[in-house]
Amino acid sequence: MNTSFLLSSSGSGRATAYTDSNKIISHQGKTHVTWLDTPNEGFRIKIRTLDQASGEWTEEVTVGEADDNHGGPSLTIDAEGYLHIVYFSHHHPFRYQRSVRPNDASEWGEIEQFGTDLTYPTLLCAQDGTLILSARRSYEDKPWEHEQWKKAPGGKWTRHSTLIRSDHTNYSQYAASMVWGLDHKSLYLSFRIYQQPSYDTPPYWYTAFGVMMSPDEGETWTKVDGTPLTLPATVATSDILVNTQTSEGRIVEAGAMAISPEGVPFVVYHVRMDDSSESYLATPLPDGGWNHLHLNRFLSAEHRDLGLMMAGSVAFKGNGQPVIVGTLVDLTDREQYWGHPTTQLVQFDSEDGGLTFTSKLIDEKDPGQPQWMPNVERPTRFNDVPEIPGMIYTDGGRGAGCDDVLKNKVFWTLLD
Amino acid sequence: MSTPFLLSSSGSGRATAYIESNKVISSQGKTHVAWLDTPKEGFRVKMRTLDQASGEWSDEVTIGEAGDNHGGPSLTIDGDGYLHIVYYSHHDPFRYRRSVRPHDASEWGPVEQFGTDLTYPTLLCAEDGTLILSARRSHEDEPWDLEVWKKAPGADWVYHSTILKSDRPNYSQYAASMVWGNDHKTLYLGFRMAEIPHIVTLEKMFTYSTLGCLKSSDGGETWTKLDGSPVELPATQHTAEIIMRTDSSQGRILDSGAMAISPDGVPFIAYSVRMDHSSEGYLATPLPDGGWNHIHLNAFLPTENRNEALIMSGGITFNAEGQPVIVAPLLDLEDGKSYWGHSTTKLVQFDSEDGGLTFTGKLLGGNEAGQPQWMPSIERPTGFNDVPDKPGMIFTDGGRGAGCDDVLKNKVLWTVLD
Repeated sequence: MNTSFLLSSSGSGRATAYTDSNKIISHQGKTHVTWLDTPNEGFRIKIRTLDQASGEWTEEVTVGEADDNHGGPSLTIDAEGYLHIVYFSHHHPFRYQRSVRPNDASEWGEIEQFGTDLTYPTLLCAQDGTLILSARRSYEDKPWEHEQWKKAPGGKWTRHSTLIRSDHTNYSQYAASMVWGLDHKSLYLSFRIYQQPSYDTPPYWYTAFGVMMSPDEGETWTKVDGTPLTLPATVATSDILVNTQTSEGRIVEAGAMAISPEGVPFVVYHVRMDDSSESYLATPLPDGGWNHLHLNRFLSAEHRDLGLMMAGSVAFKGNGQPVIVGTLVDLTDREQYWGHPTTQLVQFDSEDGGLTFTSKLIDEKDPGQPQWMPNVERPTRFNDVPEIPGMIYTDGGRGAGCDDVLKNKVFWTLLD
Repeated sequence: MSTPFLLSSSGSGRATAYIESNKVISSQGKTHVAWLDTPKEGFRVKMRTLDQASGEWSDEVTIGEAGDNHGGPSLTIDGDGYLHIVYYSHHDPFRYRRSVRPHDASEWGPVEQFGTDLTYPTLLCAEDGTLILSARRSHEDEPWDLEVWKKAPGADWVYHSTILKSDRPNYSQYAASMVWGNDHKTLYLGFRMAEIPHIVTLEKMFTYSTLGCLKSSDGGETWTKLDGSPVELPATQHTAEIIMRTDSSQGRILDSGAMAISPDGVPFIAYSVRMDHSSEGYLATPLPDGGWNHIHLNAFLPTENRNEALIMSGGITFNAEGQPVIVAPLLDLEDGKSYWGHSTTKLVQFDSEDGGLTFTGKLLGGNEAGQPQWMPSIERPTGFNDVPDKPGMIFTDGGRGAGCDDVLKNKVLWTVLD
């Protein structure tokens, strides 16, 4: 792997967080990367551009403000090369901007706001230039949802549908990863519903991981086998791969999904417990159901007893082989996994289409500082993911609460 | 591990199976072991007795016939030293016998039959000599359940209650493990409910599996959750204390082993989450404020076996130092073949020196290549037996056979968990 490149030394505690939000776009010899920074003045969306030929990076550009450490960006590009970015919100309207010039992140158009109480944007571009976004919608008095929004070229952002709804009131989160199928008409959405109906201590969570698809750019949705879904889908009606709750000592988390060159959805998730975390790559079986490939077994003997978490990504290299990035954490102290100082990044490579993998650590980390929140470039329709995909990640602690202004490092690297 | 002693070379495909059924009883210098044999004439329940002082084993004694490979025995002993055994049934009445003399398995009283469509007996003896049994009850037209039966000294077996019931029709199985609390009045029942509402083929069955626990403070008269919350009988997976549940659509099946109560009165329950190519084992103990602590056991496997599948259809017991000992099958599921009788199956023992916070795993070893060693059945307290400082165990060395009626020549072995 190439040595990591330092993009910023003032990254937020969640500088590259939320795998639902693609943050890297490569196009015509350039790679644009965006993250959530925390300069002294507060939360700011930053972007830098790599000239792939020279290896030179531009200076950072400030796209706009974010409300807190949840306000990180989601980035895509249209067929004409204009960049589109959505950011800012944690239970607010989103802010949207388009680059002034194609394939150029140095200047951005006017801010447009849209939506109510939205968080965690995914952002894709359809064949006709329509932007498609999904995001979590929160409410005061009813179960939270995952909404779909669309923006036709030249049009306004318009709420399209509610894709998923929690069965419980109060907090829920969807960790939704939306990708195009190979035909660029079908959409796949993997989601990890995290439902916390009460804020009592200790908290009680229901977590489930599922996948749904749309054959028509998000107009209608089905299970992976084509069975129609009535929207909003729920845990009870969706294609659910794993379902658990706090009383079982388990929490499910998921990473960004990808579609193989053969059109097969690859989804990754883990089941975390107090002292362990087991990860799986799931792919649909021909006759229904899912194959769950245990990934921990591909860790080196040295790291075999560490917790493997898939709040990472799957992507495909130019040779058509899957590459997976997750985080490794030593949970033997049973301390909080989130921002655990032993957190380090691990990469899984395959040479047989994802039947087996070999693993290696990514980069050297400072002792006592987590390296985490890997965000790998994924196809959003008009970006050209390089043969060796790139990734950004955060090196540094979680901070306190949502508003902590930190000085974390933000790195770029290639998954070679 | 001490060198295993060969009890039989004509063991059934499930010679020592069903860890809910205790098969080893030690008392006053003797250890009696029972298993399901398959001599040429068919399924037979056999016993042998070890003289602990001399290390000599008696010849085998035939207790009676069994219906098929599900008909293995459950053994206990009362306060006067009489042995009690229940066996035979797979959807039939059980057969019960009592030893003619105390501490002597060589001769048995008349056969008594009881129950309807029962399978998988557990058998304990209460302070007053009442035998308490739980068993799976199957039905033609309603969900299957788990019944409790009692037999007061000198009286007949009497149906007492239905304590667990499936939500679904057709097949269910409970893998129920019933043990005494340290006061010899409190009962704990660990169970793994496997519900298969529609059997397509044995290879392609949709299974709902649930791991849970019930407690009775009055010898099985009433039942509660662990925190004492009353549970209306029959309990279901919605009303019992549930540790985990899953189903085939999640690619997961739960397996569980025999539970045990620590010297401090804490229930220890081991279980595993099995998938096509992996199985992770856990030791669950209740947390003081509710919920369960789950310790991942695979992390304690020997390095060279770290990627193998740990299936907790084994047992826990406590040794003389008060430390937990766990024995379970370990196998290589990489080939994607059925775990049941997989030729790589071997036994692994976990020992702890800190009350079960951490363990050291070691293979028990000695199995022939291509032959599974499995179905470990460890001696557990059933009321009046004296579990030795180093508990003993019987296990099966050999394949699963075909169907339920296959007459096999498996080895049945005894060993001490030192």
